[in-house]
Amino acid sequence: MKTRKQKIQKAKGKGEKARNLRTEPKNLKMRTGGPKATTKISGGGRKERVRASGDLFGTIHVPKDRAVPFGAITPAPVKQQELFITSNWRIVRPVIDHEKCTRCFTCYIVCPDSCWSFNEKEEKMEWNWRFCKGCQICINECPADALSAVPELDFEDGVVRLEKPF
Amino acid sequence: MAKVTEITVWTRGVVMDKEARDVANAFAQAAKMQGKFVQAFDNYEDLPDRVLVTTRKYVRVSDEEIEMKYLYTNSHPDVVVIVEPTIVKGINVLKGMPEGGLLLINTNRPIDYMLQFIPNADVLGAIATVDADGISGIRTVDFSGSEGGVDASGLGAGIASPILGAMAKVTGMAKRENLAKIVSDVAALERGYKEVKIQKFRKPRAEYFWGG
Repeated sequence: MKTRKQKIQKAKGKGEKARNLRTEPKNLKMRTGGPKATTKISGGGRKERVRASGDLFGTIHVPKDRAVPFGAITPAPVKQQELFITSNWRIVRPVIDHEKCTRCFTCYIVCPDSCWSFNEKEEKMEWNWRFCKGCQICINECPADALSAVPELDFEDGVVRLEKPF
Repeated sequence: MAKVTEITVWTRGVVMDKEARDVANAFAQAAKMQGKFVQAFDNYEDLPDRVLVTTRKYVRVSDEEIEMKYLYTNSHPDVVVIVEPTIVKGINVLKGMPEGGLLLINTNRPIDYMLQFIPNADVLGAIATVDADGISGIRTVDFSGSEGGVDASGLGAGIASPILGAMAKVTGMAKRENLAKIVSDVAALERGYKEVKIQKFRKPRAEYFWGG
């Protein structure tokens, strides 16, 4: 686990300007597109820049041409908070039918905890069981009816046993 | 100080908060009608205002006056009541339980199936299940009483009454007749009393007599 200081130093080492990692995500800057960012995208340096940022922070993998702000408001979280796993809030879990799924990314947009991501290698959506609280928003919003709610007790895995209630 | 029997009720925040509070309050009230000394109180260190988060309610029953005034959690619960069965998967509900304790779960699944989610079940003296959702047919009865201000539906509405009936049978600390005077849904209380299933593991300690 790298500290924030080390990350800044690493970013500096790549010849980039050091910036506030919490408030200024690089992807958002590029997507919203100020005049500076636009020139850089048209200049063809986009792929390298995106890949570099993915290596630096990324755990959420969405194709860059389809990436939208998470919740349509803020940039998607790019780091998992391992100290606040909330999988024991869940009574039911969403189970995906990959044949019905159309890769429309609605679940990725609506999930309040950003538990859906896209696996580019296998070309299917992936579910993050650690932070899913079973709110069933993705199940209600899925336009292809690919998601269904299954009781958590039907599965043997999927919930960490915590010593504290939350 | 005489032996204090500690009861912890596990539930989910907001959606099943009122039912678990009724379980704690009505059970303590019924034990008090038998001349016992009781304490019943809500969570202190959990996060009860979040939907689905796991929270606790506490009851203490004793034959003499209870002197644990400023302890807000039951560190050694003799009886653990699970209002929502998925909680056994995510929480170590038997934490601090002395040898020969009792676990009561509201579920319609078999006892052997539930035991696979409880790796430390060897401390248990007995495990019991009651299908309170199936008996009452409703889980969430009221959101308005979640802060304790308004209780329009009555004490013990919904899944609380069958659970209280099952607790009266398997713990023997409160009488069914006394509980029937308190709760609003007496028919569900009777059904919970009759339909609870119990499995005993070992001869319990002298002060316990799980199974009524």
